[in-house]
Amino acid sequence: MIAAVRPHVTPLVDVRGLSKVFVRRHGLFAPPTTLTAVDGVSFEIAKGETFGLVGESGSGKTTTGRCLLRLVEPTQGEVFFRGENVLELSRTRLREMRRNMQIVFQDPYACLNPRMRVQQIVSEPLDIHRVGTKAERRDRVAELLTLVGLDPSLHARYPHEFSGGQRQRIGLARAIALNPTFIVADEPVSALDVSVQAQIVNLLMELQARLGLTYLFIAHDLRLVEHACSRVAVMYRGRIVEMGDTRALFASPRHPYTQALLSAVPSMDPAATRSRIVFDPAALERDATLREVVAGHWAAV
Amino acid sequence: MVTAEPLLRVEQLTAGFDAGGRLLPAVQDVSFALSPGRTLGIVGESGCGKTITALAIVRLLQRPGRIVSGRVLFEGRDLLSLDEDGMRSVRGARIGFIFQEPGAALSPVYTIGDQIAEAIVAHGQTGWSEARRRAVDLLDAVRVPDAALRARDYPHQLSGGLRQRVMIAVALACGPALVIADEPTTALDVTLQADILDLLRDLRDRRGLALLLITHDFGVVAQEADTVAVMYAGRIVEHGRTLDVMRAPRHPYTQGLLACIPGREVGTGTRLHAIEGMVPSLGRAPAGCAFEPRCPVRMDRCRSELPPSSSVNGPGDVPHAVHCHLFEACRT
Repeated sequence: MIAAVRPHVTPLVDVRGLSKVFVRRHGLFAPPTTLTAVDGVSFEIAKGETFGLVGESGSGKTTTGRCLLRLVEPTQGEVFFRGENVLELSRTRLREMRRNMQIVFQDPYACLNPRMRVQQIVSEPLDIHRVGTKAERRDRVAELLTLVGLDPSLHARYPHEFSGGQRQRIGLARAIALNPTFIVADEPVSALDVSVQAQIVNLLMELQARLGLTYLFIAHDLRLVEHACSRVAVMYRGRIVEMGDTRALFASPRHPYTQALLSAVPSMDPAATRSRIVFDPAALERDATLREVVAGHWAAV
Repeated sequence: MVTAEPLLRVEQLTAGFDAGGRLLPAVQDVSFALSPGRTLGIVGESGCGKTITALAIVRLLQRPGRIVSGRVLFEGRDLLSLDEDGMRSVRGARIGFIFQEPGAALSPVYTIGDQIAEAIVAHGQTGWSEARRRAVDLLDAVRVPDAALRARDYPHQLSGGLRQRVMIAVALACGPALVIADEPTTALDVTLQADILDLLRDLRDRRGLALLLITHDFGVVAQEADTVAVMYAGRIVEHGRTLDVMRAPRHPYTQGLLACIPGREVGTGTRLHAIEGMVPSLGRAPAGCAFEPRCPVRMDRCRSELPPSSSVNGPGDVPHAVHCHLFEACRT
């Protein structure tokens, strides 16, 4: 296990040896089986950075993101947020802490309550944390809608009246309502059309610059991650197999899984010759730990 | 084998949905041709009419959807003029279909071997025992490991990637000449996507299939398609060799869509090019060019006049056609 990846920077989020084991029961008499979704994951996110988490479905990236906010209770490990261990917080303290840590979900169709108006949806975190007076909250919702590029006069509408891209904007307005410092963006644009994806990615970056946000950006679109993230970690079967500065990692991947993953992305050049690297899971060294291959570039090789 | 004579020729296909006494057009004046051994990519965003085009070709459009006009010439016959019996002898036999969501397209209560065999038996090619044997060969051909054992599995016992292979085996069961693949890899991870695309290309080359590949991903088009048709709001806006269209896109929509894709210019954190606004909903497209409200180079006439087809690199084997008023000088 690595103690600290970048000891010279005080990270905003510091994850150490995080694990999540799901126990599945198969009825009264059958023995329960376990699934290790996240297996001893450690990484740090500096303030203001966009940290990417990539990997195939089932690699544990979503579970990792949810563990950080304790939407899923981790089995083991530590998550320090500004030096405080989130996993040891009392209920009341956790609730306060959650003002600073928010999440944006993948599916803009499923994550908004269809019976609530936009006003209620965006205002809900403010209501729960009893921020300001009713009139102040109303003004804040208008301000938030403007901030995410929506017309505030649409506040009385229902989610179904909006397109996917607009719904993702509503989800973002809700996520930033309490002025968080850290947002877990779990596949925020995967369900959107290509032309709308770019709008939302731009908005995420704008909000980051404006509000000083830090993102954990979970995605399977490698081109998007390469564009949006300063650093990236590659997960495979619950473990981080490679981590480093996005540009260096994409330019010279060290782990065979990362090499295979990157070589599977279709080239945008129709004349390009394909050179695919196929990864053999049998050849994976299960116990290899992350080591620094070049400064700031870690791989489990 | 590549022959010059197209296997499939779609001519001015128009289809739509009846709603409240009027027809909402979903696909308008769509024309293209596809030869054996070739791949045509149809690319566009959701709601642009890609899937409706595919369903109309095999006449699987369900009410209130219907084909309004046009011709679908396949192996010398107009499929739109066949009776239902005639159509059944083509659909699933001469034309195989791969759907986006293999979980939804496979029955949960039959083994995958039986589902493949059923396609063979239904088209009267063989009896059940021979069909089951062929099903195992097909599973083998689509690189399902331990095919004989796997044939006895039910769909829920398979991973997403294996299920998509089973779908491909069903599509190939009767030895089709044309395979229509509707977003065959959209639900899959990038490595599985590469596996499935490799497999489809290999099968196409070995069996001389024509492949109609529907996708929203220009990367898939770049890698797999010989020619590409870009659709927007029910119409083809640009059409030509993939190399021409992707290297020198002419339609403002194609240009915008390609520019939206990150990674062309390396530089993290820079603004991505975005196309403002959104795709018009069904029946809401303007009278002129449907892209006009979002177009950065729109002119007055774009709002009212439908742009004609213009050829931008002269008459060739596969002309590069663009439907935009900017190119009217090159009108064909």
